[in-house]
Amino acid sequence: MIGDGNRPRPAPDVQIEILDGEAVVFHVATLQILHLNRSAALIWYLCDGRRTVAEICALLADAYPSAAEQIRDDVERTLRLLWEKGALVAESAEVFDSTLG
Amino acid sequence: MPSPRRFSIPPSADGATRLVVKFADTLASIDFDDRSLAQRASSILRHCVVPCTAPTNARAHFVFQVESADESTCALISGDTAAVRGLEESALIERLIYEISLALGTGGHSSLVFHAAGLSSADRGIVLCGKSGCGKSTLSTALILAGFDFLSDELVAIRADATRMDGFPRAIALKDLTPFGGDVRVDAPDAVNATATLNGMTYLDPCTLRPGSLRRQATPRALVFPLYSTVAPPEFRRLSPAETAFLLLPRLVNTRQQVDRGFRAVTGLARMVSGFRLVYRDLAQAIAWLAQIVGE
Repeated sequence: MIGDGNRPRPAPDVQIEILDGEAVVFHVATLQILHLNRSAALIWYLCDGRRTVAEICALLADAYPSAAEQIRDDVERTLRLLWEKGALVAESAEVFDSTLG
Repeated sequence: MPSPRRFSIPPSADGATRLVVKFADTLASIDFDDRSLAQRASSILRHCVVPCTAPTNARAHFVFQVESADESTCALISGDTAAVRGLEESALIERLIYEISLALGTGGHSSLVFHAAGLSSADRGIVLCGKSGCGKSTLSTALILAGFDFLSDELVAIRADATRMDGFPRAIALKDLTPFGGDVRVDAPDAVNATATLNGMTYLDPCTLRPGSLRRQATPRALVFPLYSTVAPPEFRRLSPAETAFLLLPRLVNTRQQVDRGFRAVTGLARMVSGFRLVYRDLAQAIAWLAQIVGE
């Protein structure tokens, strides 16, 4: 599990462009490119370095109550992908590390 | 944005045969000390060659020299430094085509240059983007035979405002002619001069496939990402702008010339020009789908 208290934020050198609600994330240094669907793009936007993972999940659960049970898994999967691709950094990276083994 | 290195085109050496080739707003000159080598290169580059009647006034971004070292080997010299020596003739021509494509693709463009094929129906341009081996050349050949005009087999320059695309119309490089059976007319009257074979690769002049099929520019209408597959189900679907940008950015050749490695410009292009995913195994079906989008 990714720590609820973590505050993920975009990595330096990462650019994002929103196109019709979806997103393209580009890491200028590594040339890594990601395509985010609308849900993933929304999660990305909530990763501002101030909100915790728990707060992100709570916000999304309020906005989409019918999907509340699924949201935690979706957020975790998306954050893990973004972190593995170098698009997100975490306040304490070891919290992510401990979940990836 | 870094300025491209520019070279004045010096007068050619006595007896040298010169070709000057153009792609969008970039030039390269090649001097050959052997006329037969120049003719072999010209058979592949003939539609990219521009007149060079006033060499002292002209400017080029890139200068190449081809020298015959002895009866069996040649040297390719690029700019001020010796690039490659000891090449057999066919290997040299192949290397020359590669080096010129690389130089013209990466140097000095105000446009976005993509590793892609370009075709058009009237002014409505289609860009076929994909890695080598995805079937761009095969599909291009089939589209020319079906009545589309040819802009390029390898490089397409697109203005960031999507108002124009330019091609680099060197001969089409085909690894395999079998998908066409007898449909590719390599026995056309001028095929001897228009077609070359290098290390198993056949270079076909588009005008041999269909006279008058060459076109220099068009307006980009569709960015198509083709994949020839006998396994995956055939598919032709419109992509979202984000999907288009995601697939298009890795095909950008002149990334170093662009701010943010071209990210903003490519996403901007993906907003303006529709993207399509094309998975095909039947060329006729693929042509029919592509004809739809230029006919819309």
